[in-house]
Amino acid sequence: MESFISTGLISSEWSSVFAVGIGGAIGFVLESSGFSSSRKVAGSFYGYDFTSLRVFLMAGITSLIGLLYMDFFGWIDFFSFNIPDTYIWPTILGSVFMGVGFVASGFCPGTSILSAAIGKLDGWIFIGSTIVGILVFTLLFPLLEPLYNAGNLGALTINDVLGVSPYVYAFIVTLIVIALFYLATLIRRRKTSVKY
Amino acid sequence: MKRSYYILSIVFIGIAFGLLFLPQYKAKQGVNPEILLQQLNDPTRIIGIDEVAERMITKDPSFILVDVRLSWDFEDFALPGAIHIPLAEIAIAAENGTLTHPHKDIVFYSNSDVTSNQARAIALQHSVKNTYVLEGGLNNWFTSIIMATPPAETATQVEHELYLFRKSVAVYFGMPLPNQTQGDIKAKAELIPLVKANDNKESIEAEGC
Repeated sequence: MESFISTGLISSEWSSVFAVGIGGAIGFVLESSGFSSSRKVAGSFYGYDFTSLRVFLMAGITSLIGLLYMDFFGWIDFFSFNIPDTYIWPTILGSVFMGVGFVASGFCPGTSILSAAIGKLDGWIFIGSTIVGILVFTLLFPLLEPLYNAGNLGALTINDVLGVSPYVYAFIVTLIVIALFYLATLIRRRKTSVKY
Repeated sequence: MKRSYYILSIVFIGIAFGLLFLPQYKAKQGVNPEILLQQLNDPTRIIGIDEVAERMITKDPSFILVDVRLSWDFEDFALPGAIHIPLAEIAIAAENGTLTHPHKDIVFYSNSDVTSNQARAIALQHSVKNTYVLEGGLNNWFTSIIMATPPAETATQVEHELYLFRKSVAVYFGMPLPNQTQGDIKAKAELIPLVKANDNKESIEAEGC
């Protein structure tokens, strides 16, 4: 799989211009949607705002369905995508850390930068803490390395494990996502609206 | 829930439902990495120039010579009967069946044996069977056959016979004998059969030396 730049469709001289343009567009959309507020992400946990859940799940199924159709039309080779190995134990542990971090701070790495960009102090503190965390992890890496490489299951995909085709899997995931949207709406109704 | 959410949900389910009617994807089995590594390092992948020369002259139908060099190299010089598939097109040739000949040996060659080994590696990844690499490539062909030098007088009989074989191969492919000019070669020289080391050992033992 190659990018537009590596295929020569966009010359390398223009790469920075495109990077700034695409980054700016994503930032604008996220800010317009209110993602610079830490309460937005935390809302998914407390049940008063499921926007982030909707956005990310919708992005997931849009790209999944879109890529499968693009493969069908011969524009891309979906099945040549690199699938990184699954390291089950560090993945579980890392997910727990990330989840706690999301709830505690109300940011993910991307939204923290967005928040910092518009001058919010909590965004800057999150970025600073991330850098400290990376530094601590790097220093402790010799100790953490066995855990880092533990439980390698190889390049697994859920549809391979379940023995279903990617198309059936995409359809099932779409149904699950729609069901989650409906469930999120039910939970949202029971919660008091939070103004922020 | 807003009406637009219902519409969006129905649209997404409809589009995802359409995926179920696409032609079913069959996972490529590929080659097991351990087996691939074993095949890549298999010493029997190397085929000697003498064996290739003999098979070319006898017009052995069970092998295919594949020149994997660039177009201008192929146009400058190539082994007679070789087909040209540049390295960059090996994968395509393997996929479209050009290299699929279950009962034939496929011998890749290049100037040395680096590119030909790469070509063989690509072919193996596409499950092409019976692949070989010409030992030393065209450089070896040129130095050992075209420019074959006579062995020392004290050399073994095997070495002398190998030299004669290689000279006869060179003559067959149009090179003049030391005391000939190019114009003298009007008919194909009679090929001196290649005597393999084992065959010769047997004959020496038979003579009781």
